Amino acid sequence: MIDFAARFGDNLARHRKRADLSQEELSYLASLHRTEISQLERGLRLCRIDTLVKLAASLEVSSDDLLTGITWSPGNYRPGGFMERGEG
Amino acid sequence: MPLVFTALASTRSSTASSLRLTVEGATTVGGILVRQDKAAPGGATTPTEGLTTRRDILLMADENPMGRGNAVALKIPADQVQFLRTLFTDARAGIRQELKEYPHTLKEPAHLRREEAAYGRLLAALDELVIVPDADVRDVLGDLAGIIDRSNEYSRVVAEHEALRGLLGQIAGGESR
Repeated sequence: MIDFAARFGDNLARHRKRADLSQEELSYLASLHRTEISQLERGLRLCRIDTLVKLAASLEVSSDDLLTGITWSPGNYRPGGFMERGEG
Repeated sequence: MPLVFTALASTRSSTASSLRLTVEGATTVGGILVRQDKAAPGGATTPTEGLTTRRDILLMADENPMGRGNAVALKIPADQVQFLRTLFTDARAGIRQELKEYPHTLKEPAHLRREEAAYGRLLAALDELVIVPDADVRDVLGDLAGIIDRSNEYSRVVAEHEALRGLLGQIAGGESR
């Protein structure tokens, strides 16, 4: 099971460095506090959707890029029911 | 002749923050703190007999000559100390990383260094349970509290919780007709 916050933080830090931006510069672009960006990059907390949109737009990447490696595998749901013996 | 400062206990609890740092008025800080009960002399009966005015007399100055305010004794539960220590340590590490990686492009490196130092003082305060608060310390604490409240939607959560729990509390004991 992945650590959602840590994976997101890795993605955020990687894209920020790729854009050659400091946390300070990104905080200006995204109208966020630099400390919040630091906390997100360190995987200390989850990101709100509005924050995700701000960060993606500021880094000129898609929200998907910041969610790379974070997927959900749908669970199986099979209702129970009576069966004839031998059926299967 | 030593200076003697007298302060009401209640004036020492004015810096409680949103992080629930609380202050005990009678804590000794850097000197000798004496608690006195003021009553009528000679045990005389007065209209206010039984009532006393509690005063803490600090036999040593607790004011910082550099204008940083008074030392504040902290009483923080152990689990909160752990949380705060992790929070401050990570925040300081983030600043140090930023200063190291972008030494020439930061617009406000001096501000970051002041924040770094403020976190250092906060971490020391968690060990010593005493701090002389200053503007930088208040700023970083206020910023952190604001960031965490916002990301957790604290005000909305509290309002919704109070509305639902309040209603549930009113009807929980009611009889159905």
